[in-house]
Amino acid sequence: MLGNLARRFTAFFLCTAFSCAVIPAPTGIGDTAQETRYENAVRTYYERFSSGRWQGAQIAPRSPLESEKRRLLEKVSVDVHDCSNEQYKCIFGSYRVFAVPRGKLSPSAAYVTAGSAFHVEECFRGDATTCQVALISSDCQQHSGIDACMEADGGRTRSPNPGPVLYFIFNTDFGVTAYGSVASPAQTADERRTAAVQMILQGRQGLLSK
Amino acid sequence: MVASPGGENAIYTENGQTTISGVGVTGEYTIPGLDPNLDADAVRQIAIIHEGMHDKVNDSVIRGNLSLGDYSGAHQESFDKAAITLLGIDQ
Repeated sequence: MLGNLARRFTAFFLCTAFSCAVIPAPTGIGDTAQETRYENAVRTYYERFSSGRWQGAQIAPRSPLESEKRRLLEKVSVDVHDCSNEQYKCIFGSYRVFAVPRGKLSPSAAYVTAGSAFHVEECFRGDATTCQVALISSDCQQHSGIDACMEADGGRTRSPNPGPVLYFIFNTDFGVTAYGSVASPAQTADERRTAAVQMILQGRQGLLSK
Repeated sequence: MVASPGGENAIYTENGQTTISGVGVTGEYTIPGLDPNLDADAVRQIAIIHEGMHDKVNDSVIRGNLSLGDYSGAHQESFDKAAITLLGIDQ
């Protein structure tokens, strides 16, 4: 909360002191005016993050079949919230929390923020102290309200209302390059990798890249 | 509700506002799962009521842990059936 206020105040101060145009305060989402888009591997479905919304829809073919020309596609969406603070860049929506430390990410990092428990499951590039490209799990142990998470006493197994487990790949140069979620923790490295690549970044700037 | 001229054939509700594409407003479209013999006006009304339900019901309760993609497919039938019941349309 204080982190958010500080960022908003900073943006306001810069604008009044130099009479400049509005400088957007940095958030966990990055530049919220710009959409961040992910698509599935077969490019039939996309999700995008823009202006505080997380929207998903089927991708219409460029040359629709005759039977598809009048098909009406529905977009569905949820709110996305900025949960960033001094320690973490963070966003959440629909019981899924994306967060990474603002400092170095260690290959064995485990942390809790916005009510979700994070763990570096696999480090694809790094050394003994720093992981630059990681597969990270985000365990929403228990629902809180309509779309947030909280830790459960005794962990997920004792939770009366466990949320999904989000897996995402974070690259320090690009942010979140892929993500996906499952109902309960994946049991093997292959399952975790498969879950993490349900949606793949389009473009060069992913979530949490700034 | 607003009509969105041109662009893709899409319908959605966001921030308390339902947007329906121009072709949707005219009723000249299809919705997967609905009886193809329904007349265009009935399809249009079903679509509008379906979208309005996103605004009135708590989506998160229905969505639960489903991802957006899974929810997108999973809610169609129940929302359409509810709209059909409200409209009193026989399928």
